[in-house]
Amino acid sequence: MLSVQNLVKFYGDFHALKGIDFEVSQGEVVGLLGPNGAGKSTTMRTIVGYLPITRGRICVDGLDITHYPIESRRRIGYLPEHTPLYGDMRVREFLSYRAQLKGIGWRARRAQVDYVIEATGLLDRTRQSIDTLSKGYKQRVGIADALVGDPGLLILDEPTIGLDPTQILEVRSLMERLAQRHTVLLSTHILPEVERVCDRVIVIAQGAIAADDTIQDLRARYSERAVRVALRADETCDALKIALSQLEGVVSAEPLWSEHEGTRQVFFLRYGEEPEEAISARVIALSQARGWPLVEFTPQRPSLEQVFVRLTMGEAASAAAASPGERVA
Amino acid sequence: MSEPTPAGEEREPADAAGAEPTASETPADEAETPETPADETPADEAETPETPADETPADETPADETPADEAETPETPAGEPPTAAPAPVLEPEGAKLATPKPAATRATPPSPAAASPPAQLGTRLAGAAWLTLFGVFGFVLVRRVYGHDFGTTNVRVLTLIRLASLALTAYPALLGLYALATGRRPPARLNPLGAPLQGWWYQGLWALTWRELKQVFFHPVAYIVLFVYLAINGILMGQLVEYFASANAGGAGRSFAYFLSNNFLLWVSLTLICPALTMRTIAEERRGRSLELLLTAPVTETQVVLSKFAATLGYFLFMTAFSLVYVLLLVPYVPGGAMDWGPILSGHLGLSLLGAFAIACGVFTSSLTRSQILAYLISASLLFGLLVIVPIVLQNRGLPLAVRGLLSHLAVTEHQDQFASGIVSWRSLSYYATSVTLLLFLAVRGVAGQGGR
Repeated sequence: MLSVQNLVKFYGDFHALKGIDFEVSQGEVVGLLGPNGAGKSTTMRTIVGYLPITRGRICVDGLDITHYPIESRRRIGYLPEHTPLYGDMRVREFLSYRAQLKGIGWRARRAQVDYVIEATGLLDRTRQSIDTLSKGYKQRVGIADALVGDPGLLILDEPTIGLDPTQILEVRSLMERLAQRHTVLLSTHILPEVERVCDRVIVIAQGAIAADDTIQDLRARYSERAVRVALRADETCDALKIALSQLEGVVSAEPLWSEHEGTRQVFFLRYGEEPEEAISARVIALSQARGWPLVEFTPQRPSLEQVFVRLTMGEAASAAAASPGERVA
Repeated sequence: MSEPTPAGEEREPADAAGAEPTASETPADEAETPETPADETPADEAETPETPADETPADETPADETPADEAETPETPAGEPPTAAPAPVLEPEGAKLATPKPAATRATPPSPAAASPPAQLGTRLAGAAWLTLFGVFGFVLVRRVYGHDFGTTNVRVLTLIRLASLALTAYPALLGLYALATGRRPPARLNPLGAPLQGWWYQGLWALTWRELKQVFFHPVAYIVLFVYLAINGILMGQLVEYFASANAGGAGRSFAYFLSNNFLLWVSLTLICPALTMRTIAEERRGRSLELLLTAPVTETQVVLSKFAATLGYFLFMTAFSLVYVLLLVPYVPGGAMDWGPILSGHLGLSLLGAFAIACGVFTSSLTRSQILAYLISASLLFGLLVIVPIVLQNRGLPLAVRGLLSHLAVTEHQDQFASGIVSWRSLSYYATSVTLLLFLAVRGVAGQGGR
């Protein structure tokens, strides 16, 4: 559906994209993640043909966008960042105009516009001028515009930015519905959105791809290899710590929280390359041998935020940023 | 919209192109199915009822309806029709899970097939229009050129000029013939300048122009400008009446032409009016970021610029048409009742061409910046230089001959003098044609350029 090969983009001297490579196949929903200024919008704008590319190749449905700019744009529905719309037009008028621009004959146009209005839940606003719509509704009009012409590929640049929580939920569920019918490439830095909507995540940092994988695989790859263990024991915190850290395979054991002797004491165990099951077996064996009831055993799954921070800021920063927060929690 | 043929022709490709999304989606929906049968059908079917409509572009209704019906029918099998579509979208069925990876077959999509799109009715119509337009224009021009010696006896120069005129008109006409015959856009190697011979191009142009027209006519600036123009026209009319009253005026037509279309006060007002009409065109889209919306739709920069130009020119023609009211008012008072219409009409033509020039200039400056004020000031000063300063400089008798020659070629006033005295010369027409083309080309480059993106 979409293939981006070695995409390089310079803004004057500024090296905005340093060789981006990825593919999106039919029916996939791919999230483009990255901090502000990483090159998400630039990537999308080059794909839709708004920005000329410095080097590289972008194909939509096998059509090189530099050689077939019009044909490839017909296959793309694009929602630009900040959703620019013609505020002086009414909703239906605007969508009808856009349908006309996208080359839909007027008989087919009516059906198309009806369809996108219904799909985006704009039925009660069709005669309202776009300027008077709320931000959430404007966003829907933008998405409706992207949908006009029934393009195979939807490119949505930050579709939920600037919306209130209810609106975010509405737009998100709209996107989930769209994902069933279209191939979607969406950029965002709202991570729960990605978790809910996307099959695959491409992380861009400083103009290069930092990761391109499914969410589960990313989680597994960047998993903390750590576990939260709570024991009820009469011994002091230090004694427990020594016992735990002497377990085979455990790299460190740090007390997170201890009420006092005889109550629940919580530790944060980091372990090496061994599987999680081996560690859990050893901890259980320890608790049984010493008579310390095991109250809690929670493998630490990294949140997408942590993965994101790691990928985009580097290991050192992520260790500083992510771990203490986790420990307090 | 001025002549009937392109108007009718603009409409029809609109509907023919309606079939196109269907055609282009076919490869997307059914993975590798041969495109040809599915694609060929709409165009061919649409063609049979279309041919008579081509000759009678006046009645648009049948011409509009027929291809639209034709266009919709094939859409049903190709993808889900839009009317039936809401159902699958609104009811989550876990389709997302079911669809994820036909990636292997997708990876090698049919690019060669897409490279040669199916024959299209709109393209044929566009080709026919080109053939007619350049055929007729070419015939007239080439005949003129062959009957003229251009003040030279050098046979080589003459041959060169004649061949150039032939190429200028025959080449586009041949491209039109190609499009008419094949229903396809001529390949890039035959058409390196990318002459627009596709139906969708005209549909897009029409859609853009229609919106721009609404923009111009429903904007306060238009009416402020109209007010200024009419006020100045009134002043000029007063002067004209005084002139008629005082001297024994000969040639009412010529005086009219002078007052209403070739007048210093008019130059000054045009330098102020036209930039006000054009300053918004592209700069506003840039500022409001809607240029991104526009340029990511399947339209070219050329279409965008041409639509802005055409719509503003349309408003300009509307505005200047008011000055003809004065002419009609005075008709009963012309001695003998025989108004000399020639200079009036040619003067008005000159005014319209001058307007086209000023508007092209304004669209160009608007394409350079996101600030409307800046666009206004740049184009106003350009026009001021050309319309006001150059004539003043030309009045200087001590001017070196070379400079004088150059300036009088550039000076709009020289051409306007001719128009106002009833002479429509090829020299003036080609002056306006080339300068407008150049300015619009620069405007296209300005839009395509990255400034302000």
